[in-house]
Amino acid sequence: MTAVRRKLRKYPARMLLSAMFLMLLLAISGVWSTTAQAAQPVPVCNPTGTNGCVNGILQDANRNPVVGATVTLSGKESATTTTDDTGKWAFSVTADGKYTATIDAGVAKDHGLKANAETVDIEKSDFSKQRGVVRFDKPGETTSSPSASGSASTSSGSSSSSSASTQSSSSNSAGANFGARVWQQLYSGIIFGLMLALMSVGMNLVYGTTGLSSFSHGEQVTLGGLMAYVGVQLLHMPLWAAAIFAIIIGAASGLLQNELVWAPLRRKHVGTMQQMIVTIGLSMVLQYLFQFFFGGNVKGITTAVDQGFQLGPITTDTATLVSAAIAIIVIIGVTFFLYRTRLGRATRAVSDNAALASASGINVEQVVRVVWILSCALAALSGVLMGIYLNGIAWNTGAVLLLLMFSAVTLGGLGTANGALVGSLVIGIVADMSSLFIPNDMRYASALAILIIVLLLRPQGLFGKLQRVG
Amino acid sequence: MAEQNIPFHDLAKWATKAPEGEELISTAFGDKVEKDLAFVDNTPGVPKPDPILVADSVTRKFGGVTAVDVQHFEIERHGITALIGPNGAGKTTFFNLMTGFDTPNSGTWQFDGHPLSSVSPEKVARMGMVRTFQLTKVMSRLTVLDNMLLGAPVQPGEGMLTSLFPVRWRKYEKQNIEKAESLLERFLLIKKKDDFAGSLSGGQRKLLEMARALMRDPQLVMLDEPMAGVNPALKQSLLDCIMSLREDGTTVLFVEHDMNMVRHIADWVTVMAEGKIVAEGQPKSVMNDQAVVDAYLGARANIDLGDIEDIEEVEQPPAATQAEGAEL
Amino acid sequence: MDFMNLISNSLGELIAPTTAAYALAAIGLNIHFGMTGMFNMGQAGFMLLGAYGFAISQSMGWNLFASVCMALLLAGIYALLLGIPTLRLGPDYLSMVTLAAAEIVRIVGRSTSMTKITGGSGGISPQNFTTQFEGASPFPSGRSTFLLWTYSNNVADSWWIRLVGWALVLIAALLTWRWFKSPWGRVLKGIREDENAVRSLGKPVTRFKLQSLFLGGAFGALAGILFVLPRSVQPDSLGRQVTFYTWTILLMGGAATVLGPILGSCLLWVSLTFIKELMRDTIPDTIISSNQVEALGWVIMGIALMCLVIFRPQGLMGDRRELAFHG
Repeated sequence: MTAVRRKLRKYPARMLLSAMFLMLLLAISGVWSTTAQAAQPVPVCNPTGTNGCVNGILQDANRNPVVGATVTLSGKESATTTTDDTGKWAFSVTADGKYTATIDAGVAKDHGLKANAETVDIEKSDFSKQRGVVRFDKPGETTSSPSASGSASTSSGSSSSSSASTQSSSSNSAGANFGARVWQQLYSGIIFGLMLALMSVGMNLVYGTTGLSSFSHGEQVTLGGLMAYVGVQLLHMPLWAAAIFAIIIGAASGLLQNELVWAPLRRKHVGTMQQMIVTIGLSMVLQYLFQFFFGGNVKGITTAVDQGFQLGPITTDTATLVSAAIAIIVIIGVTFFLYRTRLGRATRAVSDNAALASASGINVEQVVRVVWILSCALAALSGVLMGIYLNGIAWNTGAVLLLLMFSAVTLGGLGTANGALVGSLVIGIVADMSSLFIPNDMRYASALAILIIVLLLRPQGLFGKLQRVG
Repeated sequence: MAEQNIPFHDLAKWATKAPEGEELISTAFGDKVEKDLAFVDNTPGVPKPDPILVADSVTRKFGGVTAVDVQHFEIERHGITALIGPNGAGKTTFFNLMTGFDTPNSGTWQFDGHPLSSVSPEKVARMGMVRTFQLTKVMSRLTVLDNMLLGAPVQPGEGMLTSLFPVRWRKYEKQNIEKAESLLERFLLIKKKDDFAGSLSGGQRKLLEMARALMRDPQLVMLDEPMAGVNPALKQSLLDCIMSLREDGTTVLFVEHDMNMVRHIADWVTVMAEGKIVAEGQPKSVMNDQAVVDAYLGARANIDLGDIEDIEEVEQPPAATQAEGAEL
Repeated sequence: MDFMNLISNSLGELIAPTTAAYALAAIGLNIHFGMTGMFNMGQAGFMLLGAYGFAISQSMGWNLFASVCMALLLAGIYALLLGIPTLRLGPDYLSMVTLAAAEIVRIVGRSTSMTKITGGSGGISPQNFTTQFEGASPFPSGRSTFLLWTYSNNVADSWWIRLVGWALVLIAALLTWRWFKSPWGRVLKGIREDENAVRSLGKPVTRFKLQSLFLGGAFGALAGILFVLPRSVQPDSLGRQVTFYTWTILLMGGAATVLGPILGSCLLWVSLTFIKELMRDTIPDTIISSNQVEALGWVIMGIALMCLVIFRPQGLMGDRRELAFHG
């Protein structure tokens, strides 16, 4: 992680000033401020000395009102409301500062809006800043292009430390196009599952060989995405070069942390549960370092707006298809590595029984080192793909995904490689398909619920095997 | 260990010797068992006059490997039964199945007439069948005395709410401590009673585990390799203890690789190989059975104990463990 | 730079209700982890459920006692739901499931479709659930100064909540002390060391673990109430991070000790406030903005957590001997 820090230090000036008004800070500041009051959704808002307003009229490209869409306010304070018959929405807020209003990316796209989030600055004492009007019709500074599908769009860096808040698009959930939505959600579920698989496979390899469930794996994903952002936006590399740059940094961070932290801990025979707590600490450190250097906003890796196209019943775009293809190829590559190469077989032997592998002449430390490098490189790659797919990466994107990775890995069976792939696909598909039946912002909950249900029925996971006692 | 080379020849001498300050060990139950078993055939799966544990067609498969496939097996009440067999023969798995730590693919078994299929391990223990483990399980960060007290039967102080009122449980605690101390004395651990169990040597842990199992006065104790790692000096007293258990009315089933021990204290020997019971009978006749010697005892049959110990230590865990280990 | 202010602000954390809430949550976690060896990675879930149970039933007009019982009941049901499928499995599974379940509680609580009940992501504002609690205060209204600190007597971040909070912590500490020394606690410790051994000795391990999970969760639920009383119920302020901070507190103070969680909580919040205030006072805003100070504060906490586990795993109060035989 020292490498990461050094890397980041080069560009502090450009990143320092980004607004850092995250929900998390709200949570923390709540610890000290005693009268924190939440923003209130109101029908009509008029600024006074004690409150400011964030409001707007949600209209589509043809200036027709969008009715019943969900608007989420985040920033200093947060709240949620839906637009009324004329498309109007308003929040009354109490604290000065920046606020971001967000609508679902899918809704924005359906109605031809160029942005799904906009940030305004509210200052109660300043007449011109008492009221912030949000329009959504000019490309925003954060999520510049609407994502092709309603999948996993992290709202503009303003959700809480661990939530992925996407807003439900109740306006187009009518039964008529239900069939089309099934296909669309299945598709986006598979894509999301593939990306999740890319992350979970690495996490599972680490678990298999060392018995460690790494809580900092999410930060490895974020690292990949942010490095791609640095490559493209700050170093002006082409995307492919930035991706390779990100993967190299990811791999290097894997090597470094293995050498500096995990290898010494293993040598000291520190228990895996204690090591797990260390990964929690590491995750905190990395996450807040990202926030320190990159601020709280979503960082778009590419700025080009990719035109979507129709593929049978599915709307998609080239970037998504290419990302999915890369994910599939890499997963096949990893499988090939594990089953066909010498080192891969050694890796499987170590996961099977480290002591036996060591006794039969396999250099366990060497294998574990390779696994850490591979796992972090895979995480970085998935971070890049995720960043492109979600139109940006934020300091907490990985942390949000971490739980889904854990679920995927546990679902497939801890320590089994093919289990992680299947588990990820199940989680991805369940998450996206469930939004057909339950509110969209609860869909990650459904993925986690699946995990608990599966554990009830098959405690060892889908592919795991039970251990003998004694 | 300096004593390792002392041969361990004449067990008969100390088997009836009086422990300090006590009378000779009575052999009433031993005589009864001997009489009962005298007329039992030496064939695998033979019925016995007074069985305490009866198992029928118990099988357990791990993946494709059949770890245990026992057609019929009975354990004579009050007897000391030895279960021997090469590594991977399924002895430990059989223990696990009998005590509810593992579920068989098929089969039934009764303890003292009560069917035990799908009974949880803790219930099995409460019914009077207590086991020890091949890899000793002591609670490292509890004192030796606390370890012992955990072996005592459930008492009111172990209720979440009653535990808050010492008046309600102090009496039981006191009784248990007395019992624990006398057992510790018998197992030569009394000086260690306030030490953390984690500071004990491997052999002492074996002793502690055994002593702990006796806290609840079980009808049947199942000892998984009680002698492994115990130094020869302690072995004597350990064997004493096992013999005296029989005379307290406890039935003993033990897994052991130490043939001298088996020969001298077992009333009955059962041989397992590849999950099946291949031979059963009086120690003398089984040890001389050519098939058994070929299958298991081989050239090692007459080697001194210490050597066998050493060989056992380095050998891999049974194949079953590996077969079921996490697969990547 | 106002040094006195810095000191009094930092020391104010020593008695802050939030410190008490975290201490209580850590005492609960200590029963899970320190006593029973269960890796509960979702203590925040218990806290949030407790907070919801209390606040929602209060806003429905229940009396104070009934609301607290409601919170405990919810925590109990939650413990059962989590415990029954997972307690027979390894520690990895329990940690994953508690983590996931806490997240489910939070996601469902903040969902727009739940706005009518939980207030969605906006949460429940204090006037809806704190009036009865504040009304129960024996103090006259107004503000009082004691030593360095001045707080309102009854309203919001008051002396009243401080009194109740620390009284709860004291009671919880006494109870844990009793439990630690009782046969019940001994069985739990046995389970921590080796649950199969305890099982082989005839103790119903799953029942003991469920009791432990419930008990620790109940303290968590009380901590949740204490946490939200001086502010509002905000699902996102009781997210995964809160669990992690609770873990840091427990490990800092020393797991399996009675006073460790309390000491850890005081130390964490006092030192964190001190570090952040000091940075704010000494480093100009142009170099590090105040938001970045917040981030930096947590970076330091993360490093502290890592170093603690690596170099002093027994914590401040812990007994090194107990760790010597680990595994």
